[in-house]
Amino acid sequence: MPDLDAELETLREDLLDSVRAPELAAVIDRSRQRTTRRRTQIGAVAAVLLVGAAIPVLRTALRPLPDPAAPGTTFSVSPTTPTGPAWAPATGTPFVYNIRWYDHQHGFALRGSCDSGAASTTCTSELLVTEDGERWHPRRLPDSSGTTVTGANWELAVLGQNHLVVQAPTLRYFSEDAGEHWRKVPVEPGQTVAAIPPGALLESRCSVVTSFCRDLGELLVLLPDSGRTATLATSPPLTHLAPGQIPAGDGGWWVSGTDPATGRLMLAVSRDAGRSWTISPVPAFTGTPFSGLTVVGTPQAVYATAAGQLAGVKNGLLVILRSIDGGKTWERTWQAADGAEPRSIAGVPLAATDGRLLVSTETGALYASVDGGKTFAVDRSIGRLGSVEWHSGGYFGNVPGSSNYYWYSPDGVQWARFIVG
Amino acid sequence: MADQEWFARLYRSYYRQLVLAAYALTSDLGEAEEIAQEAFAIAYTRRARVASAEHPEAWLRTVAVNLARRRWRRRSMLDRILLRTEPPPPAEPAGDHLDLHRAIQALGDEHRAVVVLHHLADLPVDEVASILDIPVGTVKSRLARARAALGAALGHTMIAEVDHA
Repeated sequence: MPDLDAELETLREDLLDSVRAPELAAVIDRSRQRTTRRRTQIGAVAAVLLVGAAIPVLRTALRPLPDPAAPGTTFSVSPTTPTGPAWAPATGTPFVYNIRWYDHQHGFALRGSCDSGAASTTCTSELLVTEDGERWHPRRLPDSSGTTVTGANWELAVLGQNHLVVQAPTLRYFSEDAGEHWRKVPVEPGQTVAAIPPGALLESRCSVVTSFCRDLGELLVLLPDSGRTATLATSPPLTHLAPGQIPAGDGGWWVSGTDPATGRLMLAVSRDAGRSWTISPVPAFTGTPFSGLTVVGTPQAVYATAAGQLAGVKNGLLVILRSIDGGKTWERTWQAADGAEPRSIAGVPLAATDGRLLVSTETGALYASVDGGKTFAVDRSIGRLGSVEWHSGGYFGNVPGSSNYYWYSPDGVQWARFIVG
Repeated sequence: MADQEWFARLYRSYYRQLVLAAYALTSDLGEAEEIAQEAFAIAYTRRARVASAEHPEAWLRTVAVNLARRRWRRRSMLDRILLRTEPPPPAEPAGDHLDLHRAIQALGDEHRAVVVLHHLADLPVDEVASILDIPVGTVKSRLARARAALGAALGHTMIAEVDHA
């Protein structure tokens, strides 16, 4: 008598055999085109908003950051003539797709432009550099033809005031003069370091042979003086390592991971540049994080959040944990409950130096807590923040609905907005 | 940046399984491939986050399921607008088990989804429940009824229990 399970198994094998995966390059190209479509749509929406009522709303919602040189000035930008040899400006509708800051005056951005031909879309990218937070200078990205074959898919990593790396899937270039000159460097780690030098970025790499991040992970250090990658000699003995790229506001290097013996989620912190790690368990919570815990903080309090799958929301906020003893012990101050806001989190939480905790949500609403994350209320005093990012100079984000308007806050108390490109 | 190499490994090893998972909701293998490619394209834009996820495959499946549901809603709306009642027949895979494949296609949407996810995409019952957002018990009962229906359609006597993994 034929066995249904055996037939199902054979059908499964037949179906798997009938599926042919396209080349990875085609998926990457699709990803790039998807990004281009979204940027174009955002740009089109921004064009409508900028001539509508949104501008007065933005101007009253964000308070300008006091500037010792010009008090009360809000940053405004217009790109100037690029430096260097003959350079072809980008065509098509330009869009900024990567911004990284060293501090609120020194930053870098990637600006792309795509031309859709009959057969395919061709994209070019250029680097934008600012040294005063106001004027942005276009610079060529490293490529012999002046364009990039990988289109708008460069990634940017800032390693210092003038040190940066740009990387496409298998290429990496390093500059130590803010993009005036570049040199090609290897992508693979070539050495081991005992400590994380100032300005370096921390990443994880799974020591994978057959599966994904199920063995002990490695921490990799992107070195600021060379743009090369080194392996950190001492990693926390955890799996599924998810490090913060830079130190949090309390000065600690934070890494979340899983205890291989118990499967329990843990947080590790190093206060000696990665030479040693203190590992603490965190309170259990409901839900599975997409990628570990994100840590932000001030010298007074540190917060860890996890985003994960919640019904009906994008980037559901699963939990908020707080520590007031440098990470030795953690309190679960907030956990996802039916209908309780904030239900989602866009980017990272914002730990203000005045003691508030701000959570920007995927719906656009901003929530603030004055009791360490136990309760939240809608905050309309600042305006919409969109996805919040933590850079070495503070918190940054793209003003929702605009492709080129950004905001910056060093401490969650002072705010400024600016235009890029 | 190291996550780009990781992404390539994930893609090579998991693409086909993701197609089968999407197939549970599309009933069309070509459309399932389209959804799987879109899910990987989305994952590529977020590869740093996906790389450090505890279950990258689950992340991809969630994206694929959401894409499939969105397409189904659009198609249903168009069907109503255009007064379409008969969907075009889905393409059939090559192989010797065409009767079984047709029997699976003939199941109702709910029962086909659990069969494809559990038996063809090889997912445990609790993951099937998570994907479809239904209780584990409901998955098991639908699997049992679906298997009985398949067995009857193929003239089998049921001898295997539902996998309780």
